[in-house]
Amino acid sequence: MSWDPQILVFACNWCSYGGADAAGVSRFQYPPDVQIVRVMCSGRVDPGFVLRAFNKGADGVLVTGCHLGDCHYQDGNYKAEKRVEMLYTLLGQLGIQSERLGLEWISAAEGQRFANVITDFVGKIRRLGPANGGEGP
Amino acid sequence: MSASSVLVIGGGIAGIQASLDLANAGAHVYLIEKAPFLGGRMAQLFKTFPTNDCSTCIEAPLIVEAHRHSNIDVLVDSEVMTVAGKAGDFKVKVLKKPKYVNDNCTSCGDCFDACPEAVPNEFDVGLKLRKAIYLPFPQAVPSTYTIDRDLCLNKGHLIACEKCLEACEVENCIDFEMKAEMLDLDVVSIIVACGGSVLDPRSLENYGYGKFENVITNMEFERLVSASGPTEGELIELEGMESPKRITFVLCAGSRDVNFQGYCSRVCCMNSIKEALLAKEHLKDVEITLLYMDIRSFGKGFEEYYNRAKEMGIKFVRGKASDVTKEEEHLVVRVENTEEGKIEDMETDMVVLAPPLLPAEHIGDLAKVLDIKLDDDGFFKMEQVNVLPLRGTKEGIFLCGVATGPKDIADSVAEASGAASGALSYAEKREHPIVDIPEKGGEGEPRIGVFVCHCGNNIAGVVDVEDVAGYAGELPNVVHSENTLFACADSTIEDIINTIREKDLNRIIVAACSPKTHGDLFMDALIEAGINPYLFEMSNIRNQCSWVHADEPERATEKSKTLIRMSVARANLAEPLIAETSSVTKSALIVGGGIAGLTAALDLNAQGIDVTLIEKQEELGGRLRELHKLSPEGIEASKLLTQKMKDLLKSNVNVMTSATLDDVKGYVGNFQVTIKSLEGVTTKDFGPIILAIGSDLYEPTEFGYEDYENVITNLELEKMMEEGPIEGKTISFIQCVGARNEEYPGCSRYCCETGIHQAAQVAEDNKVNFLYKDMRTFGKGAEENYKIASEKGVRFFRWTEQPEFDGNEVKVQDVFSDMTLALPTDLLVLSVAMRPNQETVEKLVEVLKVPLSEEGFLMEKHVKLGPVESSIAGVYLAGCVSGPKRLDESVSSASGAAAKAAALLSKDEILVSPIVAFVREDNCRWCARCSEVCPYSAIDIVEIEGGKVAWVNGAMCTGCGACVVECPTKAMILKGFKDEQIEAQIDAMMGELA
Repeated sequence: MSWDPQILVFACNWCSYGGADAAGVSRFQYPPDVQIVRVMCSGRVDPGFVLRAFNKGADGVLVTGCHLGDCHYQDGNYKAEKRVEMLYTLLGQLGIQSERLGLEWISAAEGQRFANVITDFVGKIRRLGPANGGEGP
Repeated sequence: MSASSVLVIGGGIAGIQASLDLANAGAHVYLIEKAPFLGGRMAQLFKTFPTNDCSTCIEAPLIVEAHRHSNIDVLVDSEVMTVAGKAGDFKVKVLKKPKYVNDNCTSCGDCFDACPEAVPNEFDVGLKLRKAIYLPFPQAVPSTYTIDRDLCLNKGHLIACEKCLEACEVENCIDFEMKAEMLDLDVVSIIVACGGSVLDPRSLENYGYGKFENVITNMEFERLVSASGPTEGELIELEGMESPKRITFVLCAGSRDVNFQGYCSRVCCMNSIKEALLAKEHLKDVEITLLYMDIRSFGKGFEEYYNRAKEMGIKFVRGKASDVTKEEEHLVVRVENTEEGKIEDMETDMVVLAPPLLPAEHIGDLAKVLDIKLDDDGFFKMEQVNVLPLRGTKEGIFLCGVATGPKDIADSVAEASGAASGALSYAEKREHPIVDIPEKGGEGEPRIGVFVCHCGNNIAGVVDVEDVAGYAGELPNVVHSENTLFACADSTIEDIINTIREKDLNRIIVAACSPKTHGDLFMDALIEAGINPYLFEMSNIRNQCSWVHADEPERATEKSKTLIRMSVARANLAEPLIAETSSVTKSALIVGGGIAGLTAALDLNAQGIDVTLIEKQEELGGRLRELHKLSPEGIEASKLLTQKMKDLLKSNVNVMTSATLDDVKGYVGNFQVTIKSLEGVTTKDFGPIILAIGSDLYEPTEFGYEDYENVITNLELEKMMEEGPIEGKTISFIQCVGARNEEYPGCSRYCCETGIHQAAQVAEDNKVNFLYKDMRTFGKGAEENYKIASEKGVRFFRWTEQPEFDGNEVKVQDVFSDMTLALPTDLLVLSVAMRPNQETVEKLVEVLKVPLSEEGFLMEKHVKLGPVESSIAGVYLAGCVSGPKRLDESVSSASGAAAKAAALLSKDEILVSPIVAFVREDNCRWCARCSEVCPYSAIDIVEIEGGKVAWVNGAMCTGCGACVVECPTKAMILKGFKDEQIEAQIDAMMGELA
């Protein structure tokens, strides 16, 4: 039976959400296995959101934000980076492969990069198979 | 009463910034742009130095803001034809050319696909094609398509190609009957922000441009590496289409060149370094060489950027390329390597030229229309080059950006704000748009309306919109669902407003495109329908579904349903948000009475604003009091200062000398400032604060400054020159003393120019040696003075190893001759670095919590686009407080700071964004983690009955949400992005809808 992963992408209002828009404007194609949740800043992404997504059955979570140094709120992406690092450890302890969580910086002009990042991440999650240990590809 | 109007000529970044500053101060603006879109040259850039910020990302929000501002009328495709009258009462005629597409255009692009005619796109410097009907680039504003009638096949009745008209599904959109209009405008003042042009590189024959395909200009290179450019950011050779293995950048390709332009184009060193770094990012193994005469990395953070390029393995060769030839498959650049003293033939695959910036095309015509003068280089002439750099030669006309000479973005933006300050002094009538935001809509059970957009064929061509709208109608709380051809069309907006009223909807979801581009439009519709605009959600099914999953229509349809389900989850929990208001104290404080402080004070006084200026010394005037004759024209500093003091005496500025800042409490619009003076300690309220505290000069310990009497600083030389003639000596200058070293990497920006000016003066009667690292004479007239100094017999020596002085001789390892020379010296002059005004800066950090750069200067809000603002709202930066500046730059930034202060003071109260953090006091354990992570110092721990609690200052909070994540007890909430809302979205994505 075919299986499509469910992947949650957090995108910040100023950079990576703009990158997603730019990917659209330029028609850069990527797999439809992702859903974007817009936040004002990647620093708004609570580790609890990530855990909740996995708990509800998500197969992957990708946090995206402005390139380091470009944050609209000075250093929110550095905060996001720290939290994601903390989550890598925690996910391991919870028996969730840490590769299922990703962190990427994408500017509002990088439509192609947005599409590439999503394509790569979806590919990775597909190779890992379903998070709940169910039927793989 | 309607507001006084100001005319802004030019819709590049300078014109946009000037317009925003004027409009935010309550003036009305006509922003005239010749091209069909706003953004100018900055929109073409991929990245900006020295932060590698994405250019579009930082410029686009300003473009959109200017276009949507109710105080700004944007007139694209327009030109100023005549100007009559005088300051305070100009009569202007503007010709507005037809676009042949009216505002009903939804920028769907169907016409573009249908159009049979194509030409190279100007925006991509001809590297990409456009049609006769086109949008220059995807982010263009206005986003209405435009028809190039020269190219269009439809020439009235002769040939009736109407393919675009047939393809267009919007009613009343393309209109071949549209006519040019002549508009009559009454304005009180004029700002010229016309930008410049670039030398046609074909005239640089010896560099082979036009002859060899792989000889390109820096702008062509910029488009090639741009993610949105013709190759989608893949760096390829134009001939051969492979990745280049070797790239050679040729700087000063026509600048500082007797055959083309004598002046320095100011931006090319940094721009080329940036492009070299971008090339390195694209192609790891590429070999890059920069051929330069002097690296002019004079701005804040520039030297560090240059150093990074060297560390990345980019090769810098000092010498001007003489010609480019082709041998078999590769190019050969001939250069005289002045460090090695030999002629080299360098093989390369790609040559990138940095041609000079020139005055705008037809600047002579515009000068005639405006009745103002041009300078010797053909740019607009400044009224006075040191202290009135933003005034044209006619009253009421102001200049900014490249209109007066080559300049980078940050300098242009500072000048634009400064020009706005000048123009505002004529704008007596001010008006701010009235915003009346309804509060209602959140009460009762959610009644959600969903509008699913076809976007012509853009969404409906892939996504089954009827299926999606049907699905949405079945979701809980959704009481209305429909699909519509164009959600953003005027008729649909009307429909949405009527449906809200008829069906008593209290939440609206539009499933269409991006909230970033269209959100405000629909939020305005909610306001018109009488419900709170924050009860609106957008599902971006175009950019995130149909456009990017074109080959998988079924899954794109399913994904659209999921996105709407997630929006419904969010909307269920949405609350009306009301922007709080905060009053403004109608008085400005200026800290520092040097030229920057005086300029800001007089600018604000000219607008009738109450100003207090405090100066810690007994006398006003700052550094200007210590200077003799000023570069480049040799005007006496005392003459300019006397004029300023006369103006001050005539003004109503409240001056306090021997006074210092002791404490600051409060926030934007409401600062309580404690001032210590000889009369004692007083506390006064101010709306804005302008920091014009100047800088210190480095006190040298090297070169025997402390031991030998014949070693003096450049400032001491000024005094000496003022006291009487210096004759019959051998004088040696050493540049970069205390700057551009390991401890302190930054360039001090002012000292090459002033050093050369001093050297040229004393060279008449003395023998002069000038020892420097890179000659950075980039200011107006400075390169010319460099030439004059050389003609007067000044001998130049270039060093990389620090020279030594024994009291009689300077020992220098001269790079040109590669010899160690001993130069007998009677008087050694050290050009010393500018350093932060340590004492005052420490105080500012303590009382205002302003962040500092690594070198200890105050940080700007944004190094490119916020040069005169600090990161603290209501606190503005004038002069050297934010880094070394030349005199005219200090003056421009001071006027810029004044414009920001004037905008704040023009309002009775300020609206605060409602997307802010909020404390659930019951949950708060006052651990203060929130206030520690807040980048804006917006959170304090305050005493309340029975304990303490975190308190958010809504006027300072920017809504990033960092504190919410940090709070261990979930006491912090971000309005509009509550935990519950995001969690509900996650659940809905996984299929659960509460």
